[in-house]
Amino acid sequence: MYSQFLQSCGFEAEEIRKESSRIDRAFHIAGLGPEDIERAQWRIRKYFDTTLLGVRQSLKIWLKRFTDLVLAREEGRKIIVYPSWPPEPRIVSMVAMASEDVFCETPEIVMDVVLGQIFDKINPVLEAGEEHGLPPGLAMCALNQARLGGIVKGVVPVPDMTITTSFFCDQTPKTDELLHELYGVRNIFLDNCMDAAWDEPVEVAPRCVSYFAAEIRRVIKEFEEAAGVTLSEERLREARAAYARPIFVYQEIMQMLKEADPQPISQVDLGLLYWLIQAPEQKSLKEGLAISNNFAREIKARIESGYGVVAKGAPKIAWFCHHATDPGVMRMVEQTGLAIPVTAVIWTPPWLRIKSEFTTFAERVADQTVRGGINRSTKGIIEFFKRCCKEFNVDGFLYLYFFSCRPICFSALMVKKAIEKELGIPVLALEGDVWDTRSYSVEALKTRVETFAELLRSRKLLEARR
Amino acid sequence: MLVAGVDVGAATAKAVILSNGGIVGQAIVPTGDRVVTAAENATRLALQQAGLWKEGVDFKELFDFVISTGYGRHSVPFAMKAVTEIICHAKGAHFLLPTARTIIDIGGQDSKAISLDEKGNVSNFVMNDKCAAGTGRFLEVMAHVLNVPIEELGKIALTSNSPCQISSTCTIFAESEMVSLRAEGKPKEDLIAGIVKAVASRVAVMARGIGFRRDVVFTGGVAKNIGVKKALEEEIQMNIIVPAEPQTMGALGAALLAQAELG
Repeated sequence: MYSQFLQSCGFEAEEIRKESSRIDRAFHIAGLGPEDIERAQWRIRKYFDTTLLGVRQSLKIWLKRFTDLVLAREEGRKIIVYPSWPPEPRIVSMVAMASEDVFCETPEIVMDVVLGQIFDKINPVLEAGEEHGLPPGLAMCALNQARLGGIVKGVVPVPDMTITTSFFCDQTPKTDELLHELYGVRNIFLDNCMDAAWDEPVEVAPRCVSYFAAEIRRVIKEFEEAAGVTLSEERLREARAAYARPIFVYQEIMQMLKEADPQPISQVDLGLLYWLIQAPEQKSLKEGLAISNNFAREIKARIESGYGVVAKGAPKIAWFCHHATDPGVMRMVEQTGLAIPVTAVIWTPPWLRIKSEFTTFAERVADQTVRGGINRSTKGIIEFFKRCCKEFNVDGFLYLYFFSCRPICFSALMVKKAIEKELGIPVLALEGDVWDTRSYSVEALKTRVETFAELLRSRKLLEARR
Repeated sequence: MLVAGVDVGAATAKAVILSNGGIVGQAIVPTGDRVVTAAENATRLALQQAGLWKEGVDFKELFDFVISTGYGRHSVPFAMKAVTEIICHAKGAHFLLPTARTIIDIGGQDSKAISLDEKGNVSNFVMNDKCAAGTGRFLEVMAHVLNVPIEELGKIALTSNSPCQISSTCTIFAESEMVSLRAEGKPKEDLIAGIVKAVASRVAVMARGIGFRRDVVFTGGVAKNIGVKKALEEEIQMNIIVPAEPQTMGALGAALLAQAELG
């Protein structure tokens, strides 16, 4: 059964022979037994399309990442943890590429994909986080509880250092403060200009870039000292490029999905790739480009053959936030006959596609990050979603928003109003922490989603008749 | 042409039978612990009312089309199609009251506000999320605590001159609040009036998200509660129309959609 499970996740016989003792050890530490593996196999069959090479390769990398994470301390590696939201992968990729001895990871994302999406066994980790200082509602989203709970449960080794930002999620630094209090983990805090007025446009004042760039330079220096490495400007640029290449392929995939009818792939499958390249570590940085290319090739072939996961002509929606820990939610939405060409959080807005005028690594990273729109003012968030809906010419917007995430819950209904009024398309706003399956269920969401799908179909039909 | 709409809700299962466009039978039974049995029983009773029931009849053969709705819509074995109760309530209410533009539906476990266009199509909707406040279940819990039959709540509420203030929006906390008020010696009618006001206020706040347009129609089991109707009217400052049988509106809508399936 164990080998069968690994095979379904894309492992070759030789890899299974080579890796199984490590995976076995990691599963043992994480408390994953035969029943869990059986359930995971069932879930993979149900939710993921393993006929796609890209999906199998992604599942394999996720299991390898999980194994590396759990065993990092035993295997004598220095562990550096970086924030999951917003992921600051350009900095992290630099860290990850610095040395093979330094293991740099975002544990909560790995646990969400492996323990959550694949095994459906993340709740004990979240509960451990809740019991140790992040009770429900306080953590903004369950990623923070997972970040803490994984360590409490002993699934994730106590890291040597955490790097934290706060320009979107101001809870991660608080979580890392807690990690310092409980385990003495050293934290490097990457500060940013958090003084955007709520209606500040998406354009960013140069002072914000300068300030953030200076912060990045400071963090690099601190990291160099802690890890005992030297990072040249050239090395940093290489790291940035290594991170960006698969992201460019992902953007090409999004371009394909924008035009495709029927939708050729489920967003559940694409979600595996998204986090793999968006929040990478060494393995993902090395193999992410090849996996992204395989996804692109397979999607292109499906489009050419007319293959679809929803019917041709189905109403299209943009989705926010991103892939839920329960893949059944997105599958359910697609099963109601709605095509999801874009999950808005993944989309790159036009103002990020402009080449940066800055020249150094730190300035370019800072420029791109603070120009993100969604990372800044409320007006920036609203503009971001509006542009995304417009570019993908969607028939509706499904906004699954976090009720306790300060930046998101504040703007949720403003986004709904703005899109409905200015773009004239319906918005379904649903409340729930996508990272916590205890806060939503497919059954509870079904009635609203089915009605929304029916509403969009009727509108589409009416428009066609006109 | 014989069609049926079957609405299996959290508390009750309803069936409406249409023969050549006219209502010939309708029934309401408790859902209990078996969705399939409840759907079958409601349909059987509606058929009996229509004088069409025969022992051993196969629903799939008898009906030209059946649409199921409500929480149990995907579990009704003799239904040919499942449609959400939001769409069905809109169809049902529009059929009876073509001037209806807003529906407030309060059922056993959820509440909804639905905006309709002039053809009875849903143009917007909002539904309570995870909480039992503002639903029939809230009233059931409170009726149980006060040892008052649920059917009596509305009438008793109307006799109050000084409704209590129930400020908690959570059923559990509201129950504690009411228990404290009862301990303070507040009269039963004031407590009950406070409870129905709390339901009305909760639903009105939610429904404001889509706005109120005349005519406003109140459907679902809670629409039978005259106290909630009055409190809602005060909240939204508009008259509210309650159809003769508000509880079967979803089933009626499902039956109308079934009829439309046949062209």
